[in-house]
Amino acid sequence: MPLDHRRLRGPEESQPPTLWAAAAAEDEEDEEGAGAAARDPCALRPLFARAGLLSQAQGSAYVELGSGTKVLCAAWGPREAAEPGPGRLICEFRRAPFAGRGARGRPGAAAEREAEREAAAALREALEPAVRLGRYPRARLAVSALLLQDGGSALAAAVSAAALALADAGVEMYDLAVGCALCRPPAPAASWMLQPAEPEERRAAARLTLALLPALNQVSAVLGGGRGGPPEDWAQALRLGLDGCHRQYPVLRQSLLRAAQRRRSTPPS
Amino acid sequence: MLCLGALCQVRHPTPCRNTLPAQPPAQAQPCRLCRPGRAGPAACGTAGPPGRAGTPGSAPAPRLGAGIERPRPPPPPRSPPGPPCAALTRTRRKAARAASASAAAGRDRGSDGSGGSAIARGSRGAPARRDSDAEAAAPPARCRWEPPAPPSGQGPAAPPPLWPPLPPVRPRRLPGGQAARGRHIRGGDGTAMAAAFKTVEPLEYYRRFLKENCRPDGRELGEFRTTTVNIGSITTADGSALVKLGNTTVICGIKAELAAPAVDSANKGYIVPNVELPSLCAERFRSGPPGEEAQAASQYIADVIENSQMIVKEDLCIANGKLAWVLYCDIICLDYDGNLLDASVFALLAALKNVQLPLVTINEETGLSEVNLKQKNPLIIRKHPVATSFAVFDDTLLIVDPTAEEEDLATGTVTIVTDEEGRLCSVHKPGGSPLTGAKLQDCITRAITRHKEVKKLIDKWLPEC
Repeated sequence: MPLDHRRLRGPEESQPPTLWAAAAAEDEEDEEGAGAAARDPCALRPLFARAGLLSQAQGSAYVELGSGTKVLCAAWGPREAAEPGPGRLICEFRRAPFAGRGARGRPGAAAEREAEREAAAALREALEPAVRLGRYPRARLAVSALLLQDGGSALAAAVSAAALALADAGVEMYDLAVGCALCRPPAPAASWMLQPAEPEERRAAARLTLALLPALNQVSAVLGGGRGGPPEDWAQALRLGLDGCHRQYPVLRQSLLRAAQRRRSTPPS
Repeated sequence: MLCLGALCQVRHPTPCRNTLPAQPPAQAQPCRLCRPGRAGPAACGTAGPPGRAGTPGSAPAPRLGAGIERPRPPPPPRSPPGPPCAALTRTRRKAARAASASAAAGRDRGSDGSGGSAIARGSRGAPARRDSDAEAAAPPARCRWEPPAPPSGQGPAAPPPLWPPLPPVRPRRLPGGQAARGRHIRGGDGTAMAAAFKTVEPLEYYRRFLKENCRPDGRELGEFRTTTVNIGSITTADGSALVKLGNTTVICGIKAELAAPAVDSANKGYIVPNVELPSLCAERFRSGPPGEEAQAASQYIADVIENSQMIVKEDLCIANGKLAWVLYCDIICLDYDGNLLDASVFALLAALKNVQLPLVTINEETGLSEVNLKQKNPLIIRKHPVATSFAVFDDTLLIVDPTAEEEDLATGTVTIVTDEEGRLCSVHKPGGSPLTGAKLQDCITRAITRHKEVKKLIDKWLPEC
């Protein structure tokens, strides 16, 4: 593994203490699994969204899900780009090293960078239909998302936060993109669950992330895979996810309104 | 549920003065209430409503400024019947508190960048007070132009504005539908001029404030921005803290892992701090591997931990030569508005105090380690270092807790780290203008005071350590 000279390094190898407490932890997880089966699969966890909290970025948003997922997103734009053509949306997705429950993520490692690049591509796919790129020719719009804590459904929360941040920055958009995640537990006759928590997601047999433009009722991204079952199951999962997105939409809109009111009422600088 | 509450506080508004503290006029200018050419105070009657004849010979009082529709009786002079500039004796702080910027048009969000303080909140919450201040400040009946007290919308008290103050405006609906809450609606020239001056000559703009011993956001030279700390919000990390110093927001998360100690120091664990400046904290940071500033900050934090002996590495060792703790301290800046080092050191300290390590024992027979996740102990923190940063302006002036703008304009920076016994742990002066010994001593004294302030905050929210 190539040495990362730009960061302070600790020992070459280290393991999280949970590895050594494996026996006790497994019992706990089985209990958790049994408890989770009793959870209502269509229940949406509480969502907290706030826009306009960073001072240095043009637009910013913070989304927190009830399971503990915390995403902070900042947006800038438009800035002049060298290449001619329609505007481009540049997305970036970063995980904080302390975001995962297990071992500390190594920021410079190739695997981490690969995962971040995939997530950034997914984010771009979900946001591009929502932004009026045609209004910004030869311009670059930048969005940067930081995952502070991963409690499940991280990508879905990032999509919502990124859309909010772009709207907060004053970028012209057709609609807010709302993200929703689903997963299907490995049990044979299990049904799809909305907004899984991190242990459920880890043990899931199939995962799905949806991004919807609710006012236009258009789906902007569908990502996922796994052993789901017959196609009718997937269709039913899609419908469940779309319903979840519609239910989250008022909360996001409200947070934008509040941010605009706050900006208007604070004394000008 | 609102775990990162401190992050979600509205970013501190910058009650920046868009109007300059300008120089006093070379000669007394005729006040606007008199027609130019008229002599002295006798010519101008009471600043009454237009149409009301005052003393004979007075010109009909012209319109009292744009936007006043209803004629108002002159405000009762609060100041003693001396010169109208009696209100100058009012403290600068009160003026700063009473101040709010003038016209809202062209407000640039966060462009001034300097962190707000409780003063801003105080001014927002008390418009009535501002009105009364402004009322008393307006020159009652005198016409000869003497430096009056600044009404709302002005900066520090002493240097008078270029234009005489207008009587206060009652909050009314502007055509755009916005309520002007006690703000002065000037003709827009003043604001635009000040903003233009700030863009063209930022150093000169700052110097005008510094001459009066204050800063554009109303702080004194030795005053810190409002500090908030939120502890334990990241549950996946073993310890976490979010610190907000004005607008600068830094989060520190600590993950503890197990590793074999190094061969040459078999009884020592590891502490690995890393400061990250992601692209979302400020526009000038690019995404990718850590840049120069992040690397320098990481190394500095590592030095502070080592010099202050905050955590002794021998305490992290579990079994000599076999097993030791590794503490990965990841400090991420979420919003960069100056003074990164202070906020990082404070976040690190708060997060370390929040860490709970599970009990690890080595089984004698099997030689394997056993981790008991149920039983957790806090870390042993020997010293509590606190950093205080200063910026040097023009080789002479020292200001504490610089914002991002002030850092750009400064000619040097100094960071001093002290611990709770008032002892010096580190002095970091990376080049910049030279400082005399006396000035450095002042810095150290201020740092010791700052330590007490921070200690109070920590003791309030983390009493156990």
